[in-house]
Amino acid sequence: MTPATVAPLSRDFYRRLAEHAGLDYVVLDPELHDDPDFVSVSPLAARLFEGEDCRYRRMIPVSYVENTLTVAVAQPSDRVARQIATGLAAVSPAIAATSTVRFVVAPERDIEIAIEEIFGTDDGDGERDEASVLTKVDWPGQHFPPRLGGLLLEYELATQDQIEAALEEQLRTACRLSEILVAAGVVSEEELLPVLAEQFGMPVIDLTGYEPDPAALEVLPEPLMRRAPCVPIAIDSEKLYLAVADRLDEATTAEILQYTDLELTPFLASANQIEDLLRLTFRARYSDIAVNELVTNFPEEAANRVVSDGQKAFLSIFVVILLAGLIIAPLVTLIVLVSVAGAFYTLTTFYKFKLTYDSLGYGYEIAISDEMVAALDERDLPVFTVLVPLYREAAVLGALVEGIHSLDYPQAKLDIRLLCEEDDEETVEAVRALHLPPQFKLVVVPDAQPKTKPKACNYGLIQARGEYLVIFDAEDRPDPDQLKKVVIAYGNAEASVVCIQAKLNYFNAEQNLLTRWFCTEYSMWFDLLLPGLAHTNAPIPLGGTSCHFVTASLIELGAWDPYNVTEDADLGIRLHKYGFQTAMIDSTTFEEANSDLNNWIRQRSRWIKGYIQTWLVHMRHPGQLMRQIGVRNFISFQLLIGGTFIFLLNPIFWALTTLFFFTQANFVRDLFPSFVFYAAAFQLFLANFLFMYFSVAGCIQRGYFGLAKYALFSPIYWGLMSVAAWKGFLQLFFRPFYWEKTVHGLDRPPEGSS
Amino acid sequence: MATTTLPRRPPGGRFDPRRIEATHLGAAVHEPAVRPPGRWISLGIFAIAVVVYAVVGYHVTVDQHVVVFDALDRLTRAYQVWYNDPPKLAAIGFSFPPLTTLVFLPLALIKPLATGLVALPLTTALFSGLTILFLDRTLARCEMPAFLRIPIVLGFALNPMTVFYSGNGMSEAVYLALLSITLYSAVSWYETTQPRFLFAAGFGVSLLLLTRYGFILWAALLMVLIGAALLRRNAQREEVEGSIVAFAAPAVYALVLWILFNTLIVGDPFGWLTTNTSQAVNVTGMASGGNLGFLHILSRLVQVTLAVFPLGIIAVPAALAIFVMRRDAMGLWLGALVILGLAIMGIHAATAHREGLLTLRDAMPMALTSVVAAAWFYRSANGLRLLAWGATLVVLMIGLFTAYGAMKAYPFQSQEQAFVRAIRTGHDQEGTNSIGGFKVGIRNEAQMARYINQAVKGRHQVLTDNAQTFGVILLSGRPRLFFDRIIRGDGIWQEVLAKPYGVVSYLLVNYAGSGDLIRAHYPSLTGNRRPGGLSVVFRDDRYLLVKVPAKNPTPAAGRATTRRTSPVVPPSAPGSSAPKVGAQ
Repeated sequence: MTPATVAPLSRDFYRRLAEHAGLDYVVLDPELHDDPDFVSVSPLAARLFEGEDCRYRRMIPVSYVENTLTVAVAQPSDRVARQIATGLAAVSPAIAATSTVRFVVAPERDIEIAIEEIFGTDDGDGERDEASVLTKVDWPGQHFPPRLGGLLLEYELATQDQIEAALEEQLRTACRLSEILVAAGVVSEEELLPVLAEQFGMPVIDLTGYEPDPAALEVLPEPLMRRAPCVPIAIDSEKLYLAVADRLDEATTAEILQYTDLELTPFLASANQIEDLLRLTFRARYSDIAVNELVTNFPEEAANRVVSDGQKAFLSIFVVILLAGLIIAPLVTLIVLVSVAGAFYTLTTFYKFKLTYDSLGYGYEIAISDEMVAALDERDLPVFTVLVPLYREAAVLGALVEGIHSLDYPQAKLDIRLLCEEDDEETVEAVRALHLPPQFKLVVVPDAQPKTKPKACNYGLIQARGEYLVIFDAEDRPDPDQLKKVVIAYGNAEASVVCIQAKLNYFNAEQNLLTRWFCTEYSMWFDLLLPGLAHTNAPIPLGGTSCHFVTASLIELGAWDPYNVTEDADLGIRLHKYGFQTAMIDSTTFEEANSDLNNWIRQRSRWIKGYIQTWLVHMRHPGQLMRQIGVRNFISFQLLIGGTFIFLLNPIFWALTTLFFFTQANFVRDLFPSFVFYAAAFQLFLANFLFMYFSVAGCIQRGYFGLAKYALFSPIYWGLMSVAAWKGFLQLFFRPFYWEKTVHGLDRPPEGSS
Repeated sequence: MATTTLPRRPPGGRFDPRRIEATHLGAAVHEPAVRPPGRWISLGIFAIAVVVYAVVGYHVTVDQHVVVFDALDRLTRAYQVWYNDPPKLAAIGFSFPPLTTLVFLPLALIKPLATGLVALPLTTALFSGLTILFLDRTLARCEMPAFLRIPIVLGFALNPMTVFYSGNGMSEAVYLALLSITLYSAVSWYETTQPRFLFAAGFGVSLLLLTRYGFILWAALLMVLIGAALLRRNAQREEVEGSIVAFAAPAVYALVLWILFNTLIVGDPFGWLTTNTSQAVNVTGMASGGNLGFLHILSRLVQVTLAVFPLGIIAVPAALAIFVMRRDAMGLWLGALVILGLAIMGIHAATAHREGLLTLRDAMPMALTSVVAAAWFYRSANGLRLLAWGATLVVLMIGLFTAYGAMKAYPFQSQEQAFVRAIRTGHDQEGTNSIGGFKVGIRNEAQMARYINQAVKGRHQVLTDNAQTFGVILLSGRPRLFFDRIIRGDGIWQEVLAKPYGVVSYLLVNYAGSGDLIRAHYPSLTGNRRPGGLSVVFRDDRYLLVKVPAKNPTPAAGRATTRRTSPVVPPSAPGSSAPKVGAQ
C-alpha cells in the first residue's frame, strides 16, 4: 500500500513539534524533494537500526556523517525512543564509540514511508517482536500489550520490590499502577509518560511551553476539554490533534465527535501538563469564573457591594430617626438603644448557653470509629480534592507536604492543588523546587482583584477532579484518617448534607498566653457551639478549613464569594439557604494558633469584618431569608452572625461600667433605668461568667484540662477581640475586600536560633 | 528525576497528644442498669410535687397565717427590686445570701402574687418540685427501679419538715433543690465521667453557697475530695487541675463577686460572714446563750439528727464502709458531707455561743444527703440491695414521726410548731404563739399597711427602717410611699433620720423589737415625751406611725431628746442590717 502523503497543515504541526522540542524539522517524503527541509534517507545509515525497532519506535536513522548519527523521530517527547536510539547507537559495532546521536523531527507518515522503502512492508500482524527488540527481563505472565511493570523494570525505572508493593496497593485501592508509582515518587511523570505511550501504542507529547493552535482550540468547548481532559493542539484538513491524559474512551470520543468530523489523533501527555495548558490557555476565562461566577449567577449573594440600595435607604432612615431622637429626647433615645443592646446581649447569651450545654456530653458530631475506618474498602474511595491556598508561605511547605502525605488515603486518589498567587514567586519557586509527585498540582492564580483566599479557591475548584473537596491551610495538620471518615460519613448521611465540617484546634496552644486563649476559644466553638448548631439544623458558619464539600454541590452553589473575607461563614449560610445541610464530624485538624498579637489582631479583624459582610449580604432581603431558612434559624443567624456586633458594643459598655464605678456619674445611672439595669447587671455578672465558663467547658470537653485555668482569664481576650472588631468594622468602610494576611510559621523558632 | 517521597504516618489511633481521656473515678464507666426516668415522667413528678406543696403551703401560709418572717423579708426585698421608686437591685441586701431573695424576683414581678403572699408557697413549691425530681433521678442513677424508689422518694417528700419548708417561702427549699441537682450531677459525673455533669455540679454548688454561706465549706470539701479521688486513680496533674477549675470556678466566681459587691457597696468585704443573718429563730433567746459545752452541743446534734434525718445514722456509716471496703470515693463524699454539715452546725453554735443556732431546719441538707448516701449504699451492696432498701424505707418512715414530734417540741425552730398545729387542727394560727417566742400571723402588718395606704399621699413620705418594717411595706403594695434605706443609701437615710422635718411626713417604727434604727435614734418615741413635735397617728401591737411636722418646732429640744446611735451596719450598707424583729 502506498502511503498517503502528509497534509500541509499536518506538516506544520510537526514543524511546531520540532520547534517546541528545539530540534530540526525534516521532510523525508521523496515526493517533496524540493522542500527546503527535505532530507534524503541514507539506506546505510537506516540499516544501522533493526527495522522492528524503527517501526515500533517510529524513528529512522537518516544519515551518519562525521561521527554524527542523525535519527528522525515523529515524537520528540518520546524520551524512551530517544534513549533507545542512543542505546542502539552505542552498542552498534558499525558506529564509532565517539559518535553522537542527533535527533530531528519528521512527520510520522514520512517516517513510515522511509521505513517501508528501506525495510520493506511490515509482515502484517502489526505487532512487534518483543524478543528481538526490547525484552530482556523475565517477567512472569507477560502478555502483549506489555505490562507496565515489566516495562518499568526493563527500563530500570523501578525495582521489583517497588512494583510488587505498588501491585499490592493496586489490589487494595483499585488505583492504576502508574498512578500509584508516580504518587509514591517511584517514577516521575516525565519518566512514566513514554512508557505509558509505549504501552498504549500512542504518540507522546511534552506540552511544556507548548502553544496550541488557536484554530484547534476553537473546535471543542472548554468544559469538555476540562472534563475529558484533553487539549486540541493542532488541526489540519483531516485531523484534529489532541493532547490527552489517557486513552480516549468511547463516550469521550463520541462527545468530541459531536463538535468535529475530523479524524482524532491523540497524543499522550501528562494530566498535569494538560491542566497547566488549559489554565494557561483559558487564563482570562478561569480568572473571570473565579471572580465573577457568584456575582453573575447569584448577584444578591455576593459581597461585592457592601450594602445594597435597600440597606442604604434603611440605614439612612435609621440614622435620621436616631439623630432626631437624640435631639428631641436624647435620654430616652439612648435608653432605648441601651435597652435594645441589652436585650440582644441577653438573648445571645441564652442561645449560646443552650447550644453549648446541649452539646456537653452528647456526641452531636458524626462519630466514625477506628473500626469503621479499618473496615473501609479503599477500592470504593473516590478521588478527593484538597485545595491548599498559599500566600507567602514557602516556609511552611515542608510541613504541609508532610501533613498531606500523612493522610491515610490512597495518594493516587488525592487531587491536591497548591494555590499560589502569581505575584508570590517565592512560594511558586519553592513548590517547584520540591519536585512533588503529580497528585500535588501547582496552580498559579492570576494576579487580579480581589486578591483573596476565596478567589484562589474558586480558581482551584475549576479543575478539581474530586468527588469531594476540602480546603486545608498551609499549616494544617488534619487527623490522618479524616478524609476516610468523611467518605464514610457521607455514605451514611442524608442526601441534603453537602458539607461536613471537621473540628479545628491548635497544635501550638502551649506557645504563649494568646495561643492558649485562642485554643480555649476554638475548643468551645468547634467542640460545643458548632455541634450544637448542627444538631438543631441551624446554619453553621463554616470554619476556614477542613470543611469537606460535595464538589458538584459546591459548584452548584456558586462556590465561595471572592469578595467576602470570611467566605467560609458566608458559604455555610448560603448552603443552608438553598436547602442543604452541614454536619460536624468528630475529627480534628490542627492549625497554627496566632502567637503574635499584631498578627492575631489582623486575622481577627478580618474575621469580624467578614462576619459583618456576611450579615449584611444575607440581610439584604430579611423576609426572603426568613422564608428560606425558617424563623428559628433566622433568629439563630441574628444571634450568631449578628452577634458579631457585640464585640463592637463591648468597649462602650465596659467604659460606661468603669466610669460609673469610679465616678458614680449620674448620666450613666440615667442610661440604665431599673429593668435595663437588671438586664445589664445580668450581662455583666452572669453572662460574662457564662461565656468564660463556656471556654472552660470547651477545654474539658476536648480533654484539654491543662488549658481550663487560662480560660478563666478570657475577659482580657475579649478586650483584644473588641480592638480587632473595631479595626475590622472601620476597614469595612475603606477597604471592604482587603484580605488581612495572617503570617504563619510563627510557632517555630527563627532560623539560626538554637 | 525522582520526586519527593515521604514516610507515611500509621493510620488509626489517636492523633492529639495533648488530649487527656477523662479518668473514671469508679472502677470503670458504669452504665446504670436502670434507665433514668423519661422527660414526661420527670415532668409529672415535678408537677405533682409542686401542686401538693403549693396547695399545702398556700393553705398554711395564706389561710392559716403561719408566715415565717425571714421569708417575708426576702419577698419584700424582691418586691422592692421591682417596685421601689426608683427600683434598685441593692434592695436584695448584702448580708443575706442573695439567692434567697433573687429566687422571688420572677413572682414578685406580679404584684398580687407578692402582696397576697402567694409567691411564698409557690416559689418554694417550685423548688421543692425540683428537689423531688432530682432525688428521683439520683435514685435511678443508683440503679433503684421505679417501684423501689417511689416509696423512698415519698418517705422524703412527705416528711413534715420537707412539707413545711416546701410551702413557707424559706430558703431551705431553694438550697435543697440546688443540693439535689449538685448531688445528682456529682453521682452522674462519677458514673459516666461526662464533663457536663461536672459543670452542673459546679454550677449547683456555686448557687448553693449563695443560699447559705455554710455551703462554702461543702464546696471546698467536695473540691478537695474530687482532686483526691482523681489523684488516687492516677489522673494526670492537668486533669486534676482542670477538673477542679471546672468544678470550682463558678463557686469561686460567685464568692469573689459577692466580696466585691460588699467591698464596693458596704465597705466591708467579709461583713456578710460575720453578720447574724437569721431573724426568725429563737427570737426570745430562750436557753440559747452562754458557753456551750462540747457534750451539750453533741447531744443537741444527736437530737436534731434523730429528729430530722435518722436515716443518717445508718446511711453515713454504710457509705463510709463502702469507701473503706471498696475504695469507692462517692461513699466517702456523701458520708463526709453529712458529717461536715453536722460539724458546721456545732462549730457555728459553739463559736457564736448560741445554742439557738442548732435548729431543726439546719439539718435538712443532711437529710437529703443521707437519702442519697443510702441509695449509693443500695447501688454498691450487690447482694444486699433489698435489705438496704428496706432499712432505708423503714428509717424514713420512722423519720416522719420523729420529725413531727420534734416540730412540736424542739426548742429552736422557725414556727414549725405552728405549722404542725395548723395541720393538725385546721385552724387559723393568727395571733397564736409558737415555740421560740413567735407571735404567729401578720395582722399588725396588715393593719398598719391599710392605714398607711389610706393616710399617706405622695412618694417617699414615710421614713422607715425597711429591715424592720418590711411586712408593712409589702402588704401596702406601695413601696414608693416609703423613704427606706435602699432608695438613696444609708448615708442619706441617716441624714433624713436626723432631720426629717420637711423631708418626710411620717416615721414608721417597729417598736416590738430592738433593732429598729428609728427607734434607736428616737428612743423616746414610744413614751410620752416625744421629740420635736412628733406625734403618733397610728399604733398597733408592733408598729408606730409617727407624724412629722413640716418644721422642727423645738430644734434644741430635738437635739436634746435624740441620740445618735451607732448604726447596726455601716452607713453605706442599704438595707443590710441584721434585722431583729423581736417578739411578735
